[in-house]
Amino acid sequence: LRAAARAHHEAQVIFGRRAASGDDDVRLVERTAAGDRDALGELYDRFAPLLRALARRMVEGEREAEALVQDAFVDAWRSAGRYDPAVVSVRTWLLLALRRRAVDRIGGSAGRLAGVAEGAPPGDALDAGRAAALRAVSSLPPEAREVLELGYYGGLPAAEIAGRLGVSVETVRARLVAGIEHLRARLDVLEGLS
Amino acid sequence: VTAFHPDELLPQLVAGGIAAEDRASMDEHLSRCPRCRMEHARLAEAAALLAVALEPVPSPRGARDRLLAAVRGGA
Repeated sequence: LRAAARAHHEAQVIFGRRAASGDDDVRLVERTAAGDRDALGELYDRFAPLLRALARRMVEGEREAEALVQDAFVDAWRSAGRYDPAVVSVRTWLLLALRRRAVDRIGGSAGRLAGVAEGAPPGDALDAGRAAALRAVSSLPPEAREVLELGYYGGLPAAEIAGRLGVSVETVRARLVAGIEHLRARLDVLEGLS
Repeated sequence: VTAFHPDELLPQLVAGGIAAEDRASMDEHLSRCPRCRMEHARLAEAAALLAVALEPVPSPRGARDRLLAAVRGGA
């Protein structure tokens, strides 16, 4: 029973449904769309550490990483009116904005590539959402994880990944799909618990 | 016009790199195709676990103020 309760809590956190305090994420985007800079600031407080973690994995240097995070939030400010909560979570919407900027900057050459678990603190120091995500990523088949790390963190096109690994573009695409579907299946399990 | 098959490109869009011209056509397609929009989001939510798994990095001092200053005046 305790495990079920923990899983339920994790599922709530991992989908970002449970706000620590104040307005929920979607309401903050609505306020941002209406030109409320305080709401943008709250989104920043909530998500900038996550975006910065990804930015640091994708580009070299703190300055570059900060520029990426800033750009992503400026994009969010400009496009908040088009955000649709029925399609995508606020967290993923912001991550998409960051990756888009990062891929533009990287321009086909991998930035910083390192394993996802690099620098991970002991398990009990992790928050529930991150712990569940780490477990999902750790459960990826090695070939799928390899292409996802090159693609998601490295921002590399499939052809570039294929060249690096010495496999065909079709193989890279198939591994990308398999990896994403693997993660999706993990999410669906968590979602079923929530 | 040759049929555009965005499904093939969606995984690369959410978890890889994609050439600017391909992305422009993807964006155009996603803006008018609800089915692909939902599929794109489905894949993006899954790929986001790769970011959520990373250790969060605190914002540098002043970064929040710089953002709010940048959007002041309808940026």
